[in-house]
Amino acid sequence: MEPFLVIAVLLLLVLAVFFGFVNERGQKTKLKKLLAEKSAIIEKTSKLLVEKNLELYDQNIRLQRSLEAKSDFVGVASHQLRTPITEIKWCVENILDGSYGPLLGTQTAQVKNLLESTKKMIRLIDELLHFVDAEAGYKEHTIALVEPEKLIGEIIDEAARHFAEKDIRVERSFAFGNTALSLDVDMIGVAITNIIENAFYYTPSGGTILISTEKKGDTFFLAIKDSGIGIAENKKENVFKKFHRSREALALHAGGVGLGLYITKNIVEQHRGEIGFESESGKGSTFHITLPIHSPPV
Amino acid sequence: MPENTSRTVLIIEDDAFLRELAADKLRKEGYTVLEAITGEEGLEKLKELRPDLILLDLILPEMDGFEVLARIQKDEKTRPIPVMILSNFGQKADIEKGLRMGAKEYLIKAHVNPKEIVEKINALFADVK
Repeated sequence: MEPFLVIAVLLLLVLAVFFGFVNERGQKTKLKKLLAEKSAIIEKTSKLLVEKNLELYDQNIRLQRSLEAKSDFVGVASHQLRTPITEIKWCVENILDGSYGPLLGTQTAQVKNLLESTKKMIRLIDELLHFVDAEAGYKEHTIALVEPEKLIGEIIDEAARHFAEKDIRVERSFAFGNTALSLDVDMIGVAITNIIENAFYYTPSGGTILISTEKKGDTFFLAIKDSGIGIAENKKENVFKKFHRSREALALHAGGVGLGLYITKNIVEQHRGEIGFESESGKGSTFHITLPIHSPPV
Repeated sequence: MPENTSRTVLIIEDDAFLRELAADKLRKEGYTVLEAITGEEGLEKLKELRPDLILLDLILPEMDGFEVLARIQKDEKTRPIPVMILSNFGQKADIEKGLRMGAKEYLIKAHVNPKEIVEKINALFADVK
């Protein structure tokens, strides 16, 4: 081979390696710079994130406090209202039963109206207090092991007089047994009472209410079936909305305020349960509640 | 009615109007009524005048109703006097606490009326007899 050619090839090789090396170095420096830039951005972003996080945490606490303040306010205000409203009620009842002398002419009817309005106000206050409790969630100390059938039995017994007066037959078909569930007794009591009360109000005299329980898998299942006015198809979506009352409901139970089922749904869901209903206008409604047997409320 | 005339009821209640409304009704039914505004006053009257029954409110200035009930139960001389709690606290926990501490009955003010209170008192005396 020609020595010239060999030298030329070698030279070319050396040059190629050298430029390659320089090029690589340049790229490395560039990459390093880029990396540093990106690192700086990441650092800045994470600092920002930490700040935002703290801000959110702060806001969360403030929101929580304002929610608590709202609940406290409604709770305290409602509770404070109970004393004066009790005074009015007691006074009106004393007047009505003749403690302060006989009433004349239409006075009796008017004082009776006064008593009805007073009772309506008491119910509203009771519901507002339940509403606050249901929205505030649960306090540890109110949760206890309860046999649901026993609780339901007590509620039915307490209302027996009203059912008898209205000539409504209440049938029980209890098949769940005596397994105890971890429940907020007061709140679940309110939820079940609300549904039974609705059945009472919206079922005409001579009707029947069937209250049945059973075990469905890992859940307690309660159904309250009435032979009442039922719920029209186009009203069904509003059943659990707060302050919502249909014209039919208003006609049968003017004293209601439209919070009962909203509160009930809240309570059931906080117990990780489910609530639903089937209903046919004019034929009656069946409301059912499912509660898990093993999980405590949220 | 005349059979109540010898019976005395002590009402411990800080709300003047409620106290008066309950007292009116009880007097009409033939009971002798004693009134106290605070727990302290109630305990004093209780020891001095020995009523046959105590109607006890829970929210009272200074000493609350539960404390009054505890003191009634602690004293051998006052323990046999039946106590009826009359409160606007309606939570199961409060009701159970009151009954556990020795109250014979727990009534929620807004859910009863003076007539029903008298009926409960009559029934309690009928049981005692």
